[in-house]
Amino acid sequence: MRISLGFTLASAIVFLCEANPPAAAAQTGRTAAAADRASGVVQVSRRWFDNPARAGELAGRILATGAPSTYQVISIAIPDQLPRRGEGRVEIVARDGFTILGTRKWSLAALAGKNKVIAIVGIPANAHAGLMTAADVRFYVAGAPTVSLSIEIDISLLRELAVRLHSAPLRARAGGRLTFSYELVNSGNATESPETSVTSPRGWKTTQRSGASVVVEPGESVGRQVVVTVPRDAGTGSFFLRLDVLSAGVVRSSIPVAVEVVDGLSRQASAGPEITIAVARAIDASGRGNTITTTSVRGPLFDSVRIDARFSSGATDLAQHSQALSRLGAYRMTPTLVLSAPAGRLALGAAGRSFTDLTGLYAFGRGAAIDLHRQGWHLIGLGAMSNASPSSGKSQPLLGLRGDVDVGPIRLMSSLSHLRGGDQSGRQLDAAGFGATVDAGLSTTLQGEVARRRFAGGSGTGWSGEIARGDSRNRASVRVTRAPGGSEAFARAVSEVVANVTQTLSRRLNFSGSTWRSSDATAAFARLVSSGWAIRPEYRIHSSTTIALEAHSTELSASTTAGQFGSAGDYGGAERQIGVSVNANVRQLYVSGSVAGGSVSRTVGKNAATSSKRGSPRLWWNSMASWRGSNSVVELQGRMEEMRDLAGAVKRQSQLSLRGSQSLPSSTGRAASADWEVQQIRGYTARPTTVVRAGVTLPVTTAMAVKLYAERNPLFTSSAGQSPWTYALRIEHSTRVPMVRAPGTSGYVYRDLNGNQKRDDGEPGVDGAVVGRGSGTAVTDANGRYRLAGNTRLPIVLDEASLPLGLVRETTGSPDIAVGSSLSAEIRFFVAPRSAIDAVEVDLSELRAIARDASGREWVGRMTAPTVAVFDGLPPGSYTLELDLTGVAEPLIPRVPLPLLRVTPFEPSFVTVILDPRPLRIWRAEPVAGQSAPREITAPAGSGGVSGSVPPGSAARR
Amino acid sequence: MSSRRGLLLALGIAVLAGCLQPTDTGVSSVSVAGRWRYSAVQTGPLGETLEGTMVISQSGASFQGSLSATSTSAETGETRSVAGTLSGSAATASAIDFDVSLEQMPRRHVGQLAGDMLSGTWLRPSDQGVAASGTFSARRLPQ
Repeated sequence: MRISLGFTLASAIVFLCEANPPAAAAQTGRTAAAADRASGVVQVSRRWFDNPARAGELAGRILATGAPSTYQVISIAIPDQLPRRGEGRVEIVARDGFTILGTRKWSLAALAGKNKVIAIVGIPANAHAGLMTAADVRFYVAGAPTVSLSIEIDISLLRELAVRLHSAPLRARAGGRLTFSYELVNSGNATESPETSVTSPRGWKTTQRSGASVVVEPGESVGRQVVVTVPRDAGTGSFFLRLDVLSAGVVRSSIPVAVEVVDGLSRQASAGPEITIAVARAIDASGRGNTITTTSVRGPLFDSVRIDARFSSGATDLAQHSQALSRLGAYRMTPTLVLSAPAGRLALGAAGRSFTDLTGLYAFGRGAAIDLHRQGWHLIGLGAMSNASPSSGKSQPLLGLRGDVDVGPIRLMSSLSHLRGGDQSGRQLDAAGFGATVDAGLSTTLQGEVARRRFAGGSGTGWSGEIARGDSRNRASVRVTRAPGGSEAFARAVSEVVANVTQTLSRRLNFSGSTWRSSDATAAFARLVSSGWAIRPEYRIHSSTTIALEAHSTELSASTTAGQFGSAGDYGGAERQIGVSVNANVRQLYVSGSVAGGSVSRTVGKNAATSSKRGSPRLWWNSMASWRGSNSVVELQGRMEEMRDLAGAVKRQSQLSLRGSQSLPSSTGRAASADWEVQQIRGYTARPTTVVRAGVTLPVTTAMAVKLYAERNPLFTSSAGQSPWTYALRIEHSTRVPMVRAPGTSGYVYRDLNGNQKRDDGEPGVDGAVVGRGSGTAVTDANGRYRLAGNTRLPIVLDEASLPLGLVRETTGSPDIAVGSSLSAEIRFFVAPRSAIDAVEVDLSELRAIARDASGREWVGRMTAPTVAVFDGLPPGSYTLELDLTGVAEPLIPRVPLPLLRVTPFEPSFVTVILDPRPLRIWRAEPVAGQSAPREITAPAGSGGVSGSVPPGSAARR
Repeated sequence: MSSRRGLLLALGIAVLAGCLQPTDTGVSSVSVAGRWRYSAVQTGPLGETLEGTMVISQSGASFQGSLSATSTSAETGETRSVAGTLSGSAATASAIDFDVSLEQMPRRHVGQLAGDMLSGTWLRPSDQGVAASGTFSARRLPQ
């Protein structure tokens, strides 16, 4: 109970009583009393009146002010009219709820020579606001009229309306309902009539069961309930509602209410992959149609093994049909099966891998690709056949293997490949390579590789090296590659030098830049050389606004091989551009714009005499604005490019796009969605080209959905030169099947009643606890049991927010998870005296005590007494202690080793920590010959001494 | 001072705008207008074939139009449809130079015209080098 003592004599009364005071004086007195009441000073009426309750008595009033839970000291002058002789007494009698401290009764004799008595009136904590009679004072003298005074206290208004949530944390599933309770507690002294409102995320519904208005009397509390309906399309995770308490439209209190939405399927932890079968058909105005059927299987097969399989049948003979069907997710594909697990990945069907820069990049075919990794090694392999050539019908092999192994700080790599891209591609390579990556320290990595490469028409030794330094924010690298055979032998180019740098120069300024040169040769190009540089300094004007300068220069030079391009076998080009771009994000609005100017030049021809060269300045701008709501997006984009007449370029071209999407919750639990786009392209044809497309997805049931799509795209033309509308329809059905075997991990979440961290008979399970491991999640049943998939190498994580209030996890590392009531523990500090006679009083209120458990989790204690820190909600276990004394004014050192804090449910948990004063600085203030400054002497802890400094010339004091 | 700066700025804009005005629309006896059966082979870094239709309109030496095609991966056989705009110049029959915007960076085609056959090479620059290159041919379809 909190009681403060109002103790100001300024607010005590000065009792003035006059018998039959003049009317004018009475009027003056009332005015003064009112003024004084406003300022909190107690006043007394100045007019006696006949007590209507008791004939023959004189009555009066004393007015005081005060707040609940305070004491008021009231000085009561003894009336001059009271005879001071004979028998008599003075009594103070408290009214209901009020208390009188100290003497309540005096005899007349005891008051001899005194002209006042003191009453200490305690105002109860629940006293209502307003004028209340707190006590009566009666003066009795034999033979004289009794003088009676009532002490009236104008109790000040105290408005305290608190909100207490009862049922946190809250959990619900998508599409479910929950009810949460809260209490409005009026700890003030006036009747409160607030209104309450609940704000929820879009799509959620809330109902206040007892309406929005409520009346709460002082000292009372009113329980309330809110029903929350979670939309079916709500994602998992934490969502926040806001409970506002308002008076006269003004928010007096506002608290967030967290709701954890858990996976609606998580109880079905054994739910396996989802099989989706879809039929899609595209038609146009001519009546021609194409149909594609697709089947996909995706999801967990068992434990941490997932499957992703797809295959399709059907064909499209029109590009616009193919385009429309692909917009609905239906396209011809190579049958593919991918099995993935934490230790690796196996792809069957369409399979591809890149080995190294020298032993093969971008090798894709039909077959199998495998990726295995363990601590310290990594293996990838490919065994596939290239697509059969339509002309020869031949398929060719794509075989390769790469292994990496860690040897100390060095990663060794070896790879072998035999790659044939097929007749149409013409790519081929046989290579064997060896390389290493070394962590050279100072955030620097060195990488090198050498490989023997044999390709169509030759062979050679390739090599590559890279030095990289930095981290994710600041990084610089230089890579040099020499790969004979070039891009037709599964490399990027024959030779390549690339340097990149990304640097954070200050909190606001970033810089990135690159320069490169690559040279290649293919069947079509005897020489293909590209070089250039780019820089981009970016300045962050505001947390959501950046401006960047962008400049780049590129040059290209190509020589075609004989037969590919007649005699004029050379061509090239150059481009230089400088511009500025701005990006800003204002709440849901994202705006970006860039403008650039530069020059473009192109040459066609073998030499200066026969070549044609054209150059042009170029202006270019691009801007975009998009608005993102919780379920919708609208985006407007425009760009324009203008240049003088130039080979291979339109003089002025522009493009304007407006697109949007909207998703809406539906009763099936799957969101309906719609998207659309209108795009206008100018510059390429006499009239603007307008592309219109729109699609809608309608869930019919929880398992079935229909998708519709329409597009008119003049870029696709029919044989008649028209661009008709193309329509597409997709009907899909999804079914989730069980895992091929139940998840391998099961366990219990249970109440560990005896604290032994083992599940004993009679210890109940915890219903509804959420556990997870990697991508797998599960919720315990009524017995506390769960079955969990996911990566078995990862620890099982218990979401403690899903536990009933007051419970915390006690154990780690076991599928059976013990939970118990959280406990409190104390650290009692003892500050060692500096000497036997010098007790130290130190303010430890700013001391920070931290308890850390075995897994590194931290709890911060709070100082509840001058020398006691308390930890609330500690799970049972052992904790190491850390103390932060930087906030403590007095220099102190904790005596080490700090004790271990052991928390058990069986006995109070506390430890004592001794704090020693630090070595003290003693300033000898006596002047020393030849010195004017004081000397400093350091004294060890406990040796006594004087703290502080004394100016030169003054005497040191102890 | 500020008026002088404004004058210089206006002058600069006028000069730049002047530079951007067409100075040479060109006169060409080479006609590439019409519908073309287009095919292209990408040889590096991935194998790919492109089969489709070009529609071209011409004004002087400049021409513009569109290309729609089906792309097939040479190695996996997977297909996708693509469509984009094209523009270029046909100053002489031996220097047909045009860009096709199928991806973010346009594919530059340079070829020669022989009757109703157009053939040559193409390449697609990237941010750091050449992303893809190959050969192409096109046959003009009858009107």
